[in-house]
Amino acid sequence: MLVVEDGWQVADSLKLLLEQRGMIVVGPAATSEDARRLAIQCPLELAIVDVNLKGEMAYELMEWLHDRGTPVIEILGYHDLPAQLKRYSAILRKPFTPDALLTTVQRAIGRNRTS
Amino acid sequence: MRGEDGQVVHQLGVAGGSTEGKHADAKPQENEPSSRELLAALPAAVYVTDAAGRITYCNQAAIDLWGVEPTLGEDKWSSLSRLYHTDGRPMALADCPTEIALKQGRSVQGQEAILERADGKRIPIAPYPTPLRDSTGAVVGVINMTVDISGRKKAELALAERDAQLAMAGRAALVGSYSYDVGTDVMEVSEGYVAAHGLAEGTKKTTRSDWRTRVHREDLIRIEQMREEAFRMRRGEYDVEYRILRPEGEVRWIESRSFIAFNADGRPRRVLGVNLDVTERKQTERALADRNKQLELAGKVAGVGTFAINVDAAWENIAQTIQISPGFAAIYGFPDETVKISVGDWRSRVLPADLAQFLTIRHKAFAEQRSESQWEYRIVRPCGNTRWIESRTFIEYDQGGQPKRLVGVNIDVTERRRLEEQRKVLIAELDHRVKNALATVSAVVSRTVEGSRSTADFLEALDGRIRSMAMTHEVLSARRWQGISLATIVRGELAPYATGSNTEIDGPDVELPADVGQALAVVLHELVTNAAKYGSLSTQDGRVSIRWDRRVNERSPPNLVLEWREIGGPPVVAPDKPSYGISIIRGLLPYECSATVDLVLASDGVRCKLEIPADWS
Repeated sequence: MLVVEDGWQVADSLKLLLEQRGMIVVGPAATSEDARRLAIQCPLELAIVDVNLKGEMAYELMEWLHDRGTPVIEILGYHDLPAQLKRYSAILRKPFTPDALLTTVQRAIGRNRTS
Repeated sequence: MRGEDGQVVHQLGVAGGSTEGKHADAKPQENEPSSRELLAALPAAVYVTDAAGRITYCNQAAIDLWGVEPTLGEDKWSSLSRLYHTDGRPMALADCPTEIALKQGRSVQGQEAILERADGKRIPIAPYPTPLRDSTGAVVGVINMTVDISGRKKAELALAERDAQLAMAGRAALVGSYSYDVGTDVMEVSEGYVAAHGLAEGTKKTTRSDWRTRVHREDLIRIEQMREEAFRMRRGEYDVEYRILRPEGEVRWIESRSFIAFNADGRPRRVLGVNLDVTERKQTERALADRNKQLELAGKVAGVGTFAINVDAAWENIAQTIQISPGFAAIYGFPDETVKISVGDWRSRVLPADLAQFLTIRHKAFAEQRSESQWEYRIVRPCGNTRWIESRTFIEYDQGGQPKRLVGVNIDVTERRRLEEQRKVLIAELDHRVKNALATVSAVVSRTVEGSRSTADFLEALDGRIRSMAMTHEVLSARRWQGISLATIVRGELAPYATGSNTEIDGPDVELPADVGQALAVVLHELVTNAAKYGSLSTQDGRVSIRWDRRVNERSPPNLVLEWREIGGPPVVAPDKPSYGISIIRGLLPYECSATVDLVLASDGVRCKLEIPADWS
């Protein structure tokens, strides 16, 4: 699964957490550009994307991933949900607990695998 | 009856015992109105005397005048009443008109007198006696027609009184009139004029040249132009306003209306005029105009405009007029001097979607008979700018409940909205940063726990890391997140361990953007912590050298190069598994800032070289 997160400590922590649970992590990527490059190279089961990447919003990246059939978990720091993001598979608000993350991941993968 | 020239003027007709007046013998002529009828018709008193002055005939009007019925042939005219001059002096017999006619044989006309009756009543009269002559030309009597002029006198008195009143009122209200002779330049002036212009009391005449000296220079030119044009165009009247300087030095405003009388050849002969002192009114007008201008200007500056529409039954008519203020014109981008526009003009400026909504809201207000309606909509100015307008309308209804008049305010709230948007963005940004910081701390905590051998160890390490982050935040906050000095970061991190001789810090003044500064601070913290635990800051003789500079490169902007060198510390032992601190040093800057990091755990001392691309210097 692809991790797109611009803060190193959080990205590093996410990667570690997921790898500890047996997942294979692609990335992490700090920008949309790096994310796209990685996504093209590897087939993805899931993408975990921080909506607010350094200076840019990841809306287009998320649409692109979604259109390629990759479920997306959005990580939000904002209190208000921007209108565009309503239709995606899952939303995780910062800061989140490891359990919350894992539960959301399981659900997303599970749903994808059945459909 | 014969006139002065001896010719027969008329024959008096007589009949006996008539109530229409006593008369001497005469035969009525056939086919003529009888004398009786004529005399009865006369509203004036008529009587005839013989050469001695005895009344031989009189009409009813005469009897009414005297208040006494004379005995014909006996009573003299002079015995029936007393005469006085108009000033009240008794009139000598020789001066009486009838006596003059009788004794001097000439008729008297136009003399006024006061007749005092037997009962004492005084009546102003005008007698017209004419001597009667026989065929020889000798005076044989007098016929006198006496007109009671008390009515006229009363009117004259009333007029005189009225004039006096007007003069007084004129003086008080400073209304003056004048009559000017073009040929002689002389002006006859009323008391009011004298008062208004500050002339000496009692002045009756002045000249136009004198007047010119009182008039304000600037106004004089304008007045002369108007007057000249009026004369040239043979205008009957013209109005003008001007200032005068009174003797005491006070400036007064005069409103003047002049009426011109022309000669047959078209040249002006006489000018009659009325002057009104309007100084108070002018001052009030000025003050009001100034105040209005201030309000308009304030409105214009503040982006506030006002409007008014008199709505008529067919109120959807887009040709209807809206009166607008300068502020309104400025908001909508109409030319500066515009004072009215059509409803169509206004609608064409409003964004169609917003217009539809606005009209719906307004219609609802009308239906509910509300006195106020408020909404916001966008307009597009001629230059292409879009502005947000807050509109408040106050509605007046007629008897039938139809909107009759709308007055309101438009406020350009574009700036306000922009600031609100900006505020929202800032708050979201703040939210984001705080949440990011918390998420980062959370990640750091869990990693620190993993790498710590004891609780004490963990707390110390965690505390150090969090303090470092907090310190960086504080420095950034003080500079409003505009940037942070590299030297400040370096000194801040070294501070707990610097002794004054164990650090070498050298480099130019470099301002880093917030995100680079934060990342570098974290990395430096790890380098310092590591040096303090295991490296050259853990011994007395150990030193740390930190040097930085800009690497100038033809193609790209100069990178920042920083070199960290530990000297004189204990031998370095590379760990089997990289610690969290080392992963941070090696990973963070390349990940977040596209930097290159070369960390060498050499046995004689840790060395680290960072190269950070700088698109910010």
